[in-house]
Amino acid sequence: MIVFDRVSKRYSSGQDALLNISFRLGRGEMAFLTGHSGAGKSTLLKLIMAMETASGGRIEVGGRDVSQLQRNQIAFYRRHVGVVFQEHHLLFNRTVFDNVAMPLRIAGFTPRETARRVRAALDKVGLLRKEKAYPLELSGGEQQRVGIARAVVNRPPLLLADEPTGNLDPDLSAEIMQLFRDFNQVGTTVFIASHDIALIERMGCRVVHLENGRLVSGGQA
Amino acid sequence: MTTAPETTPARKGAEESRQSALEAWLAHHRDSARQSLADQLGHPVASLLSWLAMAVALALPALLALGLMNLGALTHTLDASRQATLYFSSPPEDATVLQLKASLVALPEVAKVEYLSPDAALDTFRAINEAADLLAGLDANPLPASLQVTLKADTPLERLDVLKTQWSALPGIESVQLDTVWLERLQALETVLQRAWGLLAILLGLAALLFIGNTVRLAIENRRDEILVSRLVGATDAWVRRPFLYMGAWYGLIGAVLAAVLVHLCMAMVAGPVEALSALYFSAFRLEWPGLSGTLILLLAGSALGWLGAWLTVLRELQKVEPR
Ligand SMILES: Nc1ncnc2c1ncn2[C@@H]1O[C@H](COP(=O)(O)OP(=O)(O)OP(=O)(O)O)[C@@H](O)[C@H]1O
Ligand SMILES: [Mg+2]
Repeated sequence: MIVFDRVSKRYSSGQDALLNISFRLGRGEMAFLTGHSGAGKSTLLKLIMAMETASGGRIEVGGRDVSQLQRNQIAFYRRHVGVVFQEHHLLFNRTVFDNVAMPLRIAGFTPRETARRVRAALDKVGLLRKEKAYPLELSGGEQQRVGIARAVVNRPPLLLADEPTGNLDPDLSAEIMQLFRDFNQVGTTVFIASHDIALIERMGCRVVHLENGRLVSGGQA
Repeated sequence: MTTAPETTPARKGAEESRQSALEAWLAHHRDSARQSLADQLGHPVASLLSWLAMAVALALPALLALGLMNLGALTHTLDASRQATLYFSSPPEDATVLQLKASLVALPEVAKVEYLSPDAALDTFRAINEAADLLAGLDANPLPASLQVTLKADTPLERLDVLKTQWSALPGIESVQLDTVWLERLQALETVLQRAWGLLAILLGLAALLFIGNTVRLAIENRRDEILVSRLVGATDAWVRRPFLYMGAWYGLIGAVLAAVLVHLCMAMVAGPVEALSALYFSAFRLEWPGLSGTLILLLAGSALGWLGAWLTVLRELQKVEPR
C-alpha cells in the first residue's frame, strides 16, 4: 500500500526532517510510527498526504507516485486516504453530523447516502446519539472519535493518524486504539504515528522507528 | 489508488446513490449559491454596508448614463426640428418661388421646402399667438413671405453654417434664420458628459472590485479552518472557491437591486419637473426610463462585478490557505 524509496525531506529552512527513508507497508497491514519528538513522524505522514513534497526519493501509495500528482489530482487522491490528527481539526461551528459529512459532500454523495454513511460511521465510534451536538459539547475522547469517524466515513483503503491519543488518558487511548484495530480488521491499512511506547507494545503491531530523520528499525515487515 | 470493489450486495445501491460528476457539480453550485445567500440575508446588518457600497457604485453611473441617454434623445428631438427660414425681401413671383424651391430640394441636405406666403404667415401667427390683435391695427400685412426649409437630421452643424451663408447670398432673399448655437452647445456638453461618465464608471467599478475583494478576503480569513479541513479531505480548488464566488455575485446582485430601486426613485423625483419643462420648450421630448432591458443590464453588471471582485481575491488569497 505504501512504498518509500530512499525518501528525504529538507524543509526550506534547511532542516533535514527525513533522510534516506525506505520501507514498505502492505495492503491491510497495521503499523506504528515512533520516534522522539522532532524525529520526523509528522513529516513522514505529511508526505503521504501530499501536504509536503519530498526533496528526494519516491513515494508510492496504492500504486500511485505521490510526487507526480498534479494539484487537482491531489484532491482526488486525498479522498482515498483518511487522516486523524491530534488536534482533531474539527469545525466548532458545525454539528458532529456536518463535521463527519464533509468528505462525503466534497466527494459528491447524495444527501441520503451521506446521511446513511455518516450515521454508520458515528455508530462505529459510538457517537450516534451525539450527531446534533457541537464539538465543544463533547469530551476530548469524544472529539477524537468524531475525527476518526470523519476519517473513515469515505471508507478509505488507507487510514493515517498523527498522535491520535496525544491528550487522552490511558483508558480512552486504549479505546481509540481498539477502534483503529477494528477498521484494520475489515481490510483498511492503518498507519499510526505515536510515542506512547507502552500502548504500542500492548498492540503487538509492526513498529517503524525513526531517529533524527533516519529509519532505525521496522523497515522490513 | 484503486479502491477495492465492494463485493457486498450493497454495492448496487451505493452506486445509485452516488451522483454523477455533473449532478454533484450542479448540487454543489446550488448549495453554494443557496448557502452564501442565506449567510448574507441572515446577517443583514453586517451585509448592509457591502450592499450599499455596491448600490452606490452602480447607481451613480447608471443615473449618469440615463441622463446622457435623455440628453441624446433631447438633441435628437431638436435635430428633428432643424429648420431654416429664408425670408424674401419683397413678395416674390410664383415662378421665382418655384425655381428656388426646386433648386433647394435638389440639395442633399434638404428634406422638405415649403412656401409661406405673407397671408399664410399671418394666419399661422394668429393661430399661435394670442397677441395677434396687435396686428389687427395695421393696414398692411407686415409679415414677409418665406421658404420653410426642413433639413435632414444627420446634417453636420458645420455644413449648416455653410448653407446659411450661401442662402443669404441668393437674390431676393433678405435673410436666413438658422439657430445652431444651441445644438452645438448641447453636443459639446454631451461629449464632455460621456467622457466623465466613462471615467466615473471605471473609478466606481474599481472601487466596487476592491470593496468586494476585501469583504471576500475577510470571509476567507474567517473560514480558514473550514478551508484547511476541506482541502485535507479532498476538496478541489474549484470546490473551495465556489462559495466565495457566489458570495461576491450575491453582494453584486443585491447591490444592483438596491441601485435599481435608487435609480427609479431618482427618476420619479425628476420626471414631473422635466416633463413640465419639456412641454414648455421641446414638445416632442419624453423622459426615457431605464426600462426592463436597462434594469436587467444593471443587475447583470452588478452580479458580474461582484463575481469578478471575488474571483480576483480568491485567486490570490486561497493559495495562502494550504494545510501544513
Ligand atoms: N514546516 C516546517 N518547516 C521547517 N522545519 C520543520 C517544519 N515542520 C517540521 N520541521 C522540523 O522537522 C523536524 C521533524 O519534525 P516533525 O514534526 O516531523 O517531528 P515529529 O516526529 O512529528 O515530532 P513530534 O513528536 O514532536 O510531533 C523537526 O526538527 C522540526 O523542527
Ligand atoms: Mg508530530
